[in-house]
Amino acid sequence: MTAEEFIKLRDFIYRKTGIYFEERKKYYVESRVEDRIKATGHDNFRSYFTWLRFDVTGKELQELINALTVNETYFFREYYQLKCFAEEILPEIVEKKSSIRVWSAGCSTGEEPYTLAIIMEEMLEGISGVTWEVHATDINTEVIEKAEVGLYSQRSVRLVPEEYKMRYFVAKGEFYEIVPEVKKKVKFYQLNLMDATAMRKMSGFDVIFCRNVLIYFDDASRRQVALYFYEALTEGGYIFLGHSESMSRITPIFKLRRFKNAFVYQK
Amino acid sequence: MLEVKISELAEQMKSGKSKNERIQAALDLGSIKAKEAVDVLVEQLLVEEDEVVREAIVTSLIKIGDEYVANRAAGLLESEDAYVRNAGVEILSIIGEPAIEILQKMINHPDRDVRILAVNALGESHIRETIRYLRRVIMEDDDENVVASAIEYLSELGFEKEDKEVVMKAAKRFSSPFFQYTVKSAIEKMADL
Repeated sequence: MTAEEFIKLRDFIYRKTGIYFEERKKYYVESRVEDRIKATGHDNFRSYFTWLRFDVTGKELQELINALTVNETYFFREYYQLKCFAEEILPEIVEKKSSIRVWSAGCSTGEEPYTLAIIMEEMLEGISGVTWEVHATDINTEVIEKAEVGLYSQRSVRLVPEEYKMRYFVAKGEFYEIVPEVKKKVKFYQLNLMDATAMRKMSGFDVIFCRNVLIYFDDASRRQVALYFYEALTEGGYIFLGHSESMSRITPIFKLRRFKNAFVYQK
Repeated sequence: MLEVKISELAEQMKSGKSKNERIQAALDLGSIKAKEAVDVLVEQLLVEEDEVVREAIVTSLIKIGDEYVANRAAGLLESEDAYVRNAGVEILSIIGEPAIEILQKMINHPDRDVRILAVNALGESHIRETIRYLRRVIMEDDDENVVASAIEYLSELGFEKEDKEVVMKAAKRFSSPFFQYTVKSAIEKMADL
């Protein structure tokens, strides 16, 4: 891939997704794009890019984004956002209400919702009268099953503070299992974010985490999901997206709020 | 029966009890592929003041996404309201192929601002004929802002030597520093052609 080709592709991906690849990522982008060129039966970048650019279905853009974004998930991922949730957002919510509902949308194998449950347990422990629950959904039933089992590799828990690891996990050979007290606080279920009927049942959430999920949707679907999230949030509720995602590129209906630790979108 | 459903949803969208009800009605209208549904969505978009309901309307129009939507969306490019104009661009660019005929007309619109918006819609779209139309705009349009917009898009989309030649020839058409800078940036992007 020439420097000019890289810039064309980078600008296109940026406009479509808000994800920006700097020059130093050229090699990384190149190797993944080459895989996609082969997988789609093209023999050079030019023919692949033209095909990608005019692909009405948007499927290849999604495939390319999948290849370019690390799909790995682990506990306490994007720590600064969690710090914001724990130290700035939760105290604000607790001041106003005693029942807190959080939703991890696109929860994969459960690392995110369990992280949120651990944080809530830590932050809200001892505050009398406050109840909370974490809802965790994914379109993929296999990952939901794994999440319910709650068994994780050392790699998944590598960022969990040692103290929390002792308190919230039980070592099982090479693996770590989430303790039942935390498991029962998280409700896992299958949900398609594009299913209007199912999405309308989702309501009264104070915070939604939907990180690195919407990048896999096309423009129209992303807008629709953003509107469903709007309906699902309480007044003033918050939504966290992945660090490279921008709600403002999808829809202007949420306000961007700047906290000490992170930027968060608010209804 | 369908007409009744559309008029019920239209009524809910206009004056539903809650904002959520209005949003839901607008989204539900997007599941009805009928001209009447498109008409009520567009008419409401023109007067709607709530930003979220507007977004729901635009989302539904994109979802219906046929030639009739494209024709109605083209009319939005002439609106005085910036949100409505941008919504028109977004709808036309996302729905793609059904918008091609109307966009072909819109790049010849007498108002240059409308032509710029049509170029934006073309450039953002997945329409294969885009390159051909952008070349034509660059060679024939007599407004430098319209031509500059088309050049920016062609520099991203063009992969033929001819694309670069069209841009290089256009350099002689307008002499303003802004235009010359646009041409220079485009040629840099197309250096390998």
